[in-house]
Amino acid sequence: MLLLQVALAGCVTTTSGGKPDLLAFLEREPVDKFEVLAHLGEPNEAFEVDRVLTYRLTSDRGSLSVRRNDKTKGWEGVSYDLVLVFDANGSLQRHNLVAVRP
Amino acid sequence: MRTARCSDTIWLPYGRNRRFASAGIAAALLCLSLGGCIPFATPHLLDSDSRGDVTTATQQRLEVGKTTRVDVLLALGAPDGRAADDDWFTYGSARTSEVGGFLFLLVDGIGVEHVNTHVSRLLVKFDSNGIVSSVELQQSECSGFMAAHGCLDLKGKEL
Repeated sequence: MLLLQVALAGCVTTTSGGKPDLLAFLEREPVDKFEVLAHLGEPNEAFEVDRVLTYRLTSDRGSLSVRRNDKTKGWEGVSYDLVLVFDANGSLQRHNLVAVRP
Repeated sequence: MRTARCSDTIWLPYGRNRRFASAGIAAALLCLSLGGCIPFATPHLLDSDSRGDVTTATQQRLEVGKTTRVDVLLALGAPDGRAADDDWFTYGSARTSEVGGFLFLLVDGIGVEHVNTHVSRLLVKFDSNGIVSSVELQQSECSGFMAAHGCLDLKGKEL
């Protein structure tokens, strides 16, 4: 049992099922909020009356996937925080991929 | 909760500082007196609920009276803590070191450790127009047996 505990110490669970082109649609302007929600689903957080949406992304061997809200995990396993800023008409104005735990 | 790898472990008596080494020696002596035991010490590892180190460099990216709330979000991402009306954001980081030992029992074992945590928290306040009105980098040290107590809250719950 002790050997098993020692062998398992420091293990990190990884996830699969990401897409290398998950954010490619952001480069095809114009992009509206509905398109973002269709591609990425519900955001992790929203600000400025939903004018700013953020998504936590995990990266696994070049593939990105959205990590759903799980308050028990904090930033563990998160690679990027995607920030999307929309105008009053819901069109994407600016976005940035903020590196997490760089 | 922290993520640690075996390669992060350093073996006594190599400590980061004097207090660290003293605690390690105490743990080693306790181990020796109890028989089968592996003493251990870890360097200051970034806690799993921290996105990255919050430093003065982070603080300097924000300009009072000029940077907007949206600019802050674009630069730093979603905050760790926020006011109900987004009047303030907090961005925090914590690094924790542990010194202790793993005591062998008949069929299993128990770990005992002293935990030391360094917390940095950036408190960003906004005016009624959503412009940064103040930026304050707050720091604290906290420690305890098995868990650090009295640490500055990354989410700013006491604000």
